[in-house]
Amino acid sequence: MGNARIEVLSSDEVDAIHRASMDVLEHVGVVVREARATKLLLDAGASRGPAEAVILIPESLVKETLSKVRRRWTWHARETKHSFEVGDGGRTRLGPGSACTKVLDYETGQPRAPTVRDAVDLVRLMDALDLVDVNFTPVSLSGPEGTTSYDEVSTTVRDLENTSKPLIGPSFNGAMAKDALEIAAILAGGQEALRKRPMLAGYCDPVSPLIHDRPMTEIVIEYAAMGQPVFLTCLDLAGASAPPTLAGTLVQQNAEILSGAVIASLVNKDAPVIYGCVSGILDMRAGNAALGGPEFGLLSIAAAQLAHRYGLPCTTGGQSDSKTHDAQASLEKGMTLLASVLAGADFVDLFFGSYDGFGTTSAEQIVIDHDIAAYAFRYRSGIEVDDETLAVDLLREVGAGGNFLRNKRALEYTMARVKSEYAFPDVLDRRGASSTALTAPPLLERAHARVQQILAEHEPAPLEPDLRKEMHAALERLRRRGAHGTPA
Amino acid sequence: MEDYAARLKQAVIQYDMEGVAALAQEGLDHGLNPLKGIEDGLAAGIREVGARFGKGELFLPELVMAAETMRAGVAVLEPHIPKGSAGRKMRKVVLATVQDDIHEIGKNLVSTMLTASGFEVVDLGVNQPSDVILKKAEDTGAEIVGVSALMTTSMPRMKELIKATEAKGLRPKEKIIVGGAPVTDQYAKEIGSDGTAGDASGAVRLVHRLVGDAA
Repeated sequence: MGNARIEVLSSDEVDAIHRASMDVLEHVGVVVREARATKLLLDAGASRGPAEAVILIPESLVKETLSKVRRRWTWHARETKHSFEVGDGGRTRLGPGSACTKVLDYETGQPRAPTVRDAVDLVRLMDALDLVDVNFTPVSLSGPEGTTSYDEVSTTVRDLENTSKPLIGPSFNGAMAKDALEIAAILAGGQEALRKRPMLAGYCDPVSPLIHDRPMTEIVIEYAAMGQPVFLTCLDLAGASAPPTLAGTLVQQNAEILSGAVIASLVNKDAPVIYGCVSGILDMRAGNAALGGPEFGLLSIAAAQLAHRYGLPCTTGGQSDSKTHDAQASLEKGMTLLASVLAGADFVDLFFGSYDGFGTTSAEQIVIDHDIAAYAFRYRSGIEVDDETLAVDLLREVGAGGNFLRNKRALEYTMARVKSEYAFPDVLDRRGASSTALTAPPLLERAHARVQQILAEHEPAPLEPDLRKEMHAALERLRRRGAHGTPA
Repeated sequence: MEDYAARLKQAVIQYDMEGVAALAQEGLDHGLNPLKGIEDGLAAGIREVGARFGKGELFLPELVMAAETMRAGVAVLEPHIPKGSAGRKMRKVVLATVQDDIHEIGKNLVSTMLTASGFEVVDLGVNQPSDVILKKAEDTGAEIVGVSALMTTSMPRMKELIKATEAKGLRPKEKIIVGGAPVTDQYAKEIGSDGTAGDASGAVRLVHRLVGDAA
């Protein structure tokens, strides 16, 4: 049965990219701007390159560390019904796409700065939707003064109050990560318990080409040290921050991710790492990043193949360059998500709601994306073929010229198969022309109505009062400590 | 005498990055007026390339190569413009990525497109403290300073730069524009900058508007 799969690289081509990446790591090297990471790498057999901060990593070190990386683990949620296995070949896990600096206001049709109210609504909406697996505030609430540890950890606590699904934590620098991990420890029941339970993931975006910058590397170190999942997700732009060819971009990105995985693994070999690709191209006519076109999808498929060659779970893309929730947003998100899902990606963690190359989000697009996801998963599950589904007995009974909607056995069999054979959209319209007519509200209006309905009806599972109290006490300590570690 | 201005224009249009310096020097040796070499030669060439890029006829690498050709030519000709001579001087823009941020793809695109639009760009690179940026702006007499940030954590550095400029009494004469993926119109207003644009070509329009020669 099923598990429809697409590949864009032969196994020889996957090997060729692997060998090229090893060549790059050994002879070009990566810039590492974090002293602890540099020391870990040098102690483990890496060497200094000719240029400042460049570290050369031998293939043997990559091989050795990758052989120890956890291939299967459970991502624990606040409510166990939302916990899931990673690396078991199950369906692609989806999350919100993230740190958007703009929310598209449904009433005005214009982008505006996100508010805390938006953050709460978006997280509660996604808490209600079945195909959202990872859930956290998908907008940036940073004002002109920037953001503090207190701001970021408040967001994590608020997320825990509004969803019981697994989440990603603050990922700006090590200090904020540390503060957020204290909240995660409260949730897990102590630091020791947290070390054994992946609950709060950290996010590292290597800087291309081939740089592990200080803040991002601190995030790897802090989350990995606590045994929490670390996403190593590249957003390389072919032709600008990476070679112009997709193959060359894959080589560079592979070197960036694997060297990051080596650092994480040297910090804590039990820390789960996720091989991440949301790389795209620089549009050579527009002079802008293009993160919704076919190249974005192709890179995602190839990245999934590479990750799985190493036995690492991966996250890949589902995105659009449209500035608003229009036809372009849905067609590009649909095509790129389908590419990732059919490639067998373990995650598309930056998916729901966003477009504009992760810049803008809206609640309406989240609901539309949920239908896109349902369709993509249906493609993935493929066509089940066995003696029963071939249905020759049924064909014999209904006969040539018969009617499947008038035959009792056919009707019963249809009912037995209806949920496994067919995907049903929520807001997409498949009714006949007569019932829909031309007066039916357009998709965006239907999506908006659905958003309103869910927000009115859905109540997230409450955070246990004792935990809530403890988290708010920790937050209060952060507030008093002030933005820069000094009392406010 | 050969028309060196026309040949310099062709050098830009043909992206002759390696040959342009020698050609400019040869022109000077044969009595080329350096101002004419820039205006009727290099700048005329880059205007043509820029217009074709704007129409979607050329790709970004072609624009970059033309801009680099122009830059190399200007470097040879400009020192020979007599001090205090009349005529158009190239307007200067200082660009940098703020301190604690090392992302520069967007800034580099703005740099290329501004060069292609006839500005002289002084690009300081990444991770630049406010005082270094301001000093460079003063030293070069730049009319516009453009700063970029990709990380929300480094964005406050933009406000810091604007405050420092105000403290020196250089505002509002010194124009400061801000950019980078997380920078919104609202943010640009809140920190008191002279504006932002969603992409590099928008940044060029903004700069033209600020120096008063709306393109």
